[in-house]
Amino acid sequence: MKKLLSSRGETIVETLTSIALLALAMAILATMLTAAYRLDKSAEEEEERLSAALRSAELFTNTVGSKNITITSDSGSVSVGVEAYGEPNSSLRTYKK
Amino acid sequence: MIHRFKEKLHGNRGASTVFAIILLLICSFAGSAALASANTNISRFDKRVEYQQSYLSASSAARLIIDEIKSCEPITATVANKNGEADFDFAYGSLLRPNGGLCQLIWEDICKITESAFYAEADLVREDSFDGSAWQGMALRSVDLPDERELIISADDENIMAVTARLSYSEERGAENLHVSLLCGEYGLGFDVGIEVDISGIAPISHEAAAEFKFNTDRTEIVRTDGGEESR
Repeated sequence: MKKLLSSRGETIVETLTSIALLALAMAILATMLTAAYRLDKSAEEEEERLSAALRSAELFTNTVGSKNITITSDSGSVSVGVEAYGEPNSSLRTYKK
Repeated sequence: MIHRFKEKLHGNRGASTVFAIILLLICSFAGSAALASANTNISRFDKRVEYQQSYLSASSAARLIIDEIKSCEPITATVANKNGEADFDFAYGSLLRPNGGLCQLIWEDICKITESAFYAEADLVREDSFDGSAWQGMALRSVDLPDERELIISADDENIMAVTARLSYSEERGAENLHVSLLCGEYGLGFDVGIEVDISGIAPISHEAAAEFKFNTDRTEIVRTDGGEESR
């Protein structure tokens, strides 16, 4: 308080305050950048998983079991047995007879 | 004291706290922008998964429709039609034998009648209308066939999205005149089914094998005839 009221040595107080604020700013920035990097990295990994799942589903390389497809119209409905394809760890699915 | 503090804040000697505060704000904004950008990427990714599943569901449904229609065996069958007088006319139609799947639902819609100008006025008779017969025929049309038919294609797998299919027929009918449009979520696709049924190509075999149908003497039902004789 004394230093604050005094006309001498005020730059030291200011400097210390500034350094503290600067450190806080850097800490905030670093935390946010790290979080953003992690999010970006996880998005990239998800993207790779999505591409692999999409490839697997489109090329019918991995079956995830037999499913029933129901076709409904105003005149009735029929059921068709198909084989579903995709990766077990992905929700992407395709199917064919 | 506050006045003094403000003075120091606005002072231009040495390092100013104001600059530090400004820097803090700038850093906070920059950090927020980076986080928001990363977050947008993640939410866009979720949207993309949904879109890709729509595409996969719609393309699978398209493949299923084509496979189902193509798996129907094209046959030439004699069709019976009452011509308004006492006699019956017979003509050959390009029919598809329903295989129990999709064609069971849309069989009447996609079966083409060769001479559509006259014979389009006839009903197709399903296989189950005949005792043990593997062939189909048709009788005088009693109902108008729709120009469009809507189908819902759904799966017993929660990951596969339901697809709405709209089948549009031309006046001539026939599987080669079928336009299909599919809608699943935000994804839509349309295609024409082009199954050509060559009547002349299959006639020599089918002509021998084809059953003939005609009304019975009471005109109450269509009966199958073999070589002109009524089988029942």
